[in-house]
This record gives sequence, structure tokens and C-alpha cells, in this order.
Amino acid sequence: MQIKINNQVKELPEAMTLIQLLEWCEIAPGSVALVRNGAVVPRSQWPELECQNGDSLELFSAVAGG
Amino acid sequence: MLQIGEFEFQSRLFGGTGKFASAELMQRSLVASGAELVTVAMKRLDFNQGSDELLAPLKERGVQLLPNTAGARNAREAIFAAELAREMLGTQLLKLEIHPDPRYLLPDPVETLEAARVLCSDGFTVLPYVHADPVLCLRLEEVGCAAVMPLGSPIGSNQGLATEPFLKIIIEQANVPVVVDAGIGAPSQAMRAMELGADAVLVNTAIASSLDPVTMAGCFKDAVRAGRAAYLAGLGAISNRAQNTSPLTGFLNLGENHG
Repeated sequence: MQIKINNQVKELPEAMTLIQLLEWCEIAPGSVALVRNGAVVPRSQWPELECQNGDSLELFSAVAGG
Repeated sequence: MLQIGEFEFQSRLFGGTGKFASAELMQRSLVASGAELVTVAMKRLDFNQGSDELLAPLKERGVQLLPNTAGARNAREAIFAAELAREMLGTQLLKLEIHPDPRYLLPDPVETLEAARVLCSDGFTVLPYVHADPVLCLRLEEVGCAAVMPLGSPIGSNQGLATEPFLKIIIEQANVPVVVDAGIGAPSQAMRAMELGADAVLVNTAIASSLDPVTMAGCFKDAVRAGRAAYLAGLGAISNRAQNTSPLTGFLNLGENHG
């Protein structure tokens, strides 16, 4: 299965939920936001929703700013 | 005690996390400032650099995070950014800023009002960054904004309260807290804003760009406290003519009379 994360193409070894994907990418889920195909995915849905072939995901994090 | 929506703050100095030379210096400066509300921005995750370094120490200290929508050029992008912020940080608080022109970073009033209307009805505690426009501030209040944040001068310019006459009108009319944001470049300017009756000020660049940000943060803390106290004490009236502070009893003429 192939997906895009922040414009990087990733080949997933197996089916996985969004929370499993974050773990696979070694990203701490505590302080990121996840956008799937243009829509913000509520954190509560991360353990349930499975990645689909061709998904375009974007991850956002907090950075310094005024 | 300052109340913004459901949130309460002892400190009337809000801080920013941008432009510091290091994360460690930022943390020490924010501690010195006493700020309990601190802005953060958002960006696409850099896989090589986590975000915990920024957030963890702030959360540890119990400060409230105020995510901003910097980078949004219109209402649609700002609403999207707001949803991101709520999911990312689990807070309803939002600094709504929409500035399409990177040269002056002046806020777009039409898009800001439109976004505020949507976000307020969606449960956000919206603090909109706007020009010092008294009419716009009232309109933002009407759509449910928890505070208004008029600018003193362009973001990061350190020019101070160039909009002072309009800030006075905003403060006089407002039924929600007024937070003077942007352009405050010196503690004296923060103090002036507080003397005028602003409920709080937000300072980032003036602290972060100081040669000694930690000391400067403490100076701002003192200035904001003094300005607030002076406002509550009540400034004396301004007069065009001198008003004597000592009794003019004419005793110097006594010598002439008796001499």
C-alpha cells in the first residue's frame, strides 16, 4: 500500500490504522495534528481509521511563534 | 484577575515563543515574564525535528497555549488552521490572525470578521488580531469574540503605540478584554498601554530580540504591573496651564513690605 505523508511517498508494509502509522513513522502522537485528504481527522478517530491506498496525509506540529 | 472566556489569568503580560536565539533562552525569558498565556504557531511536521522540545516545558509550567493562525491568508485557511490547533493542542483558545501581505503583516478585517463569526459559533475562544479599528472591534465583540487584540504598530516593528488615539476609543467602548498586541517595543510602551486601560499586552519581539531577553522579560513584567496599578489608581487630569503644587502665599514679598 502506498500513501503520501507531507509529500513523501511511503510504502506501508501492512494495513495499519492512523495511530499505528504514527508509531511506524516514530512520531509521538501527543502534539501533532493529522489531515487526511484535506480534512482534519479528530484525534479520537486515529485508533479506528485505517490508511487507504493513495491516501494523502499531512502532519502538523507546534512551532515557536508570536 | 483577568478573565478571557472561561480562562483566568493573574498576569496581564502575554508572551510569544518566536524569535528567541534558543529554546532554553525562550523558556527562561517566559519564566521571568510571568506570562501565563503564550502563543505558538503551527507548521507541517519536520520529520527530523520533533515539537516536544517546545511544548513540554511550557505544559510543565502550566501555562495556557494560545495557538495562532499565522500563515492564513483568508478566512477559509484560518478556520482550517483553527481546527488543526484544537486537535493538536486540545485547547479552544485561538489567536485569529489573517494577514495576506507578508511585507507589513497587517490584518485583513473582512476575512477576520468572517472567520471569527464561524469560529465563535463553533465553540472557539477567539482572540482576533486586528488593526486598531474601534468599529471592527465592536463587530468582533458582537459575533462572540472573547477579547480583541488591536495592534500598536506593525508586528515585530518595535514602533510602540502608533495607534494610541484609537486604542483609547477601543478601550472605552469594549465590553470584552482589550489586549494590545504587536509593535510594543519597550517596557514604557507596555506600561503606557496599561495606563490607558488595556486589559493586557502581548509582547514577543521586544523581549526575544533584546540582548538580554531574560532581564527584558522581567522589565516588561514590572512595567505591566505598574501600568495596571496606575490605571486603577487613576491618572491625574491633564491641563494646558500650570497648576501649582505648593501654596503661593506670597511670603517672599513680606521682606519688601517690612524692609
